[in-house]
Amino acid sequence: MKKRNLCLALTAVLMASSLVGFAACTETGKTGGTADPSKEEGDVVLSFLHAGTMQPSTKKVEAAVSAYVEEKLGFGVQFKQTNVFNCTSDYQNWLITNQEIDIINVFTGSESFITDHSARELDSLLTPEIAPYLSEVLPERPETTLYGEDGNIYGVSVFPSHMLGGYSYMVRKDVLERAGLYSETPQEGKYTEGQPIGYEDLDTIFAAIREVMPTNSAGQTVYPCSAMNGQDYMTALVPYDKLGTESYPLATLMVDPETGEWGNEVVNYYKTDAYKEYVEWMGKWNAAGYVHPDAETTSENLNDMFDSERYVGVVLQTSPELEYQWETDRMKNKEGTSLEGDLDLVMLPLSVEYSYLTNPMQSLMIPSKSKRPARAMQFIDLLYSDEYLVNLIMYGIEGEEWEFVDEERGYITEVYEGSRTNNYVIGGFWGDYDMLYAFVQYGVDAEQIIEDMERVEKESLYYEERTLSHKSPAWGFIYWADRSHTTTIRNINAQVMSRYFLTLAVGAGSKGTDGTFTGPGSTYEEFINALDNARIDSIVEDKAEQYAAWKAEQNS
Amino acid sequence: MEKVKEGVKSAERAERAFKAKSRRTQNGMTKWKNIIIVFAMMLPGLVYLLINNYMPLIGLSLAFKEPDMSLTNIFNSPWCGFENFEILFQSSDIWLYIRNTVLYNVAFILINLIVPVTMAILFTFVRGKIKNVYQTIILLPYLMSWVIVSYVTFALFSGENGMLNAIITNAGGERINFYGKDAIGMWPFVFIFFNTWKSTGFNFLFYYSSLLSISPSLFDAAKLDGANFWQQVRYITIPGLKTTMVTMLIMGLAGIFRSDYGLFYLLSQNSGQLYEVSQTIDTYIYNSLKGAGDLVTSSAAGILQSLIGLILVVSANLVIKKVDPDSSLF
Repeated sequence: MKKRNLCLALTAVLMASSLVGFAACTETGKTGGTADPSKEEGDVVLSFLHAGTMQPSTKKVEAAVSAYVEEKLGFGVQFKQTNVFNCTSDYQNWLITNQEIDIINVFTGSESFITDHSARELDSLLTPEIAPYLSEVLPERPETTLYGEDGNIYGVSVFPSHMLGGYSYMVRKDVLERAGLYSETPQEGKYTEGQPIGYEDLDTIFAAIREVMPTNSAGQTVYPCSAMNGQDYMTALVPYDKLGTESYPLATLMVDPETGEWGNEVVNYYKTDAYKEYVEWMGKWNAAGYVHPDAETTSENLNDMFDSERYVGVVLQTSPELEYQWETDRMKNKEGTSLEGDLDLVMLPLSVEYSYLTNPMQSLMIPSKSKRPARAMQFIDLLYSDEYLVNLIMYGIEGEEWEFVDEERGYITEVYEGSRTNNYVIGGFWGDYDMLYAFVQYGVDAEQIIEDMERVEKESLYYEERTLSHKSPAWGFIYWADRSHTTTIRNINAQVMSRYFLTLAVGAGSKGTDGTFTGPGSTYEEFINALDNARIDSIVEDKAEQYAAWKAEQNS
Repeated sequence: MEKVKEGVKSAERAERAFKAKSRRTQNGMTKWKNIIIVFAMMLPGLVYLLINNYMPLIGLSLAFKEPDMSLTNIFNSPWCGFENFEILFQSSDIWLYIRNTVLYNVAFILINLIVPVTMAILFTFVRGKIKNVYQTIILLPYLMSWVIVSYVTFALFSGENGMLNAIITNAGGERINFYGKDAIGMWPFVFIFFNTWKSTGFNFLFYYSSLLSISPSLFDAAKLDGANFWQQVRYITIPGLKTTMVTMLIMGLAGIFRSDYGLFYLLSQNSGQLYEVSQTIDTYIYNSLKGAGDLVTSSAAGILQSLIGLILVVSANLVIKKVDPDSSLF
């Protein structure tokens, strides 16, 4: 009897505690700040991300940032620390439990922060009084903003959100020479730096590599085609603008890889002839043994594969800087390899360079529950326009953690103990390139840094001229899926794309059980049927409709 | 045979009488003192349960709401019916994933009943210090992360450097893509094998500790009455373990709609070609919500899995109650 009473009492306590929890839910009402900084009170609270460990000097930096902003804007700044790996759930917890937070640095799922009203629109804050710099710059540059479905601005991107298309097969020059396929100047049947190539050319190159270098010095097989799990860029042979933020291209605008001509219609990417041709070629190469047998599942690293000569060519973004970086960083240890002398790569573009927009990967947002949104916007504006503040917040206190090596050009090097480079702050990278600044390298002398920066500047110019000049006609358009279409996209990703995409991308879906090529065949057909069953057409139609409406608005 | 049964029954009667007598001799004060001590020991566990298992129940309603984070209280968000459950039912392959989840769990429940019980029984024959070594070895796989196990299996099945492929090619055979369709039939056995290998040690501990609580006098009495090993197992060990077995069975049923993400996702390297046998409800939800930061859809999936688990637990308990009232949990 006593036991029974005890159990009953315990149950009552548990139920009471649950009811207390529910009772706490009865408080209602929306919160939000006014758009007048003078009416707001207190310090701006900023999410401060790190990669696992906080730098010991952070408190000092926080105080310095706060003092500087106080002087400039009349209020202080507090850091609210979180780890980059779980910041999204931390933000959700902070907001649900009504903790003080005025600026969040969102990495993933920024759309969900808009749809669940976690973030407030920024249009009303982007006035010349509150944000003199950003109110002028943001409307002109769609790649710097995160737009919501309603067309309002919800976030300021940390990096420009344009995607740079155009990839090249970068192959070792010594191997190409050994295969008799390299020439300094254009020559029939040979390849020269920067010469655009297609499937037939790749087929010739792959076969020649297999012939002259079937194995590396350690006796391991050399795979000429570098398509690999998570690091596969061979699909660059079928270029597109995905007109949105989905992880896989579903409904796209196509671009001709040779001429760079843009298509007019939104199409199902996987039903295009270009994609089918890609699947066919990958299948042939896989069956011929040019592709790593574990390409679909391996967790091996592309760099390691190249350093160990199991790959002698890789597909990378068309970029002279990237080519240079690979030439200087890869195969530093030549012992036991067939490479004599320095590594020299030949860049063979697989498609023209082009660019299209997507939503920012990382953006600063002001929570709808922020008690001081105007102050937060003022701070963000300062962050994007004040060199001293950005350097302070990113690299620490000048003279203690870093120093300028070239005052005029504003390059920075770290010369003191400790690195702040594992802090994920913040913004300004898309800003005025002449004003923004920071470049950190460890243990490198000043001359080297200046040389590197000059190359980076050259690279920026290269992109400006080659890639950013060839913009998608949908520049500025981002598809917004409503709830039902979001569910459809998620289902397509989980049910179809995760199942077939990689298999077809590495050519494993066109091989019979005896290892020979069987044509695009059953896996491709299965894939297309599965996409149809998962209602990909509804996404294509919805996107086409939104795109047509956007185009009409642009024309008017 | 009758003699053995009689002997066991009389020994049980004697034990029950002894326990009843010792209960009667305790005075009220001592009893309360004991209860307070026991509850004091339970307190940290109860607090943990309250915080981690009961307080989150408040959040269940979110699965039926369209969250509005601008509200001071998220629970005041508007209701949206079953919209958050749509992702689970939009997939035309959902029945395949349900089939995989349920069938694997049925296999796991049965195997995790038979293998650890057998091992626990066999373990009673092990004598001396080697016993501790065996016990540690048996438990070791349970402590190993699925990530490590997935690397071990990759070392076995890899197409390029895998041990099995090395044997096959050295014997003059053709390389097999174990993570592809060629070997899809093998994977249910791989999953079952590794699950058993990993969980046996932990389950074994339950059964072995229950086994130790069976009074040795029962075995002695049975031996005196001429019972052989199998008869002892059948009439003493199995009935002695029955309650633990039922508890484990009901716990297994509670999770029949859940699956070990590590086992199915990592071991198969999430190879698309194996989805027919490797995709379960949990991996499907993971694949669909990857990077989405969606709070409510995952709660909806969790609710559905728990609800089905609850129905199965209650049903199983009802059946057990009818068959053997002493073994039911509640």
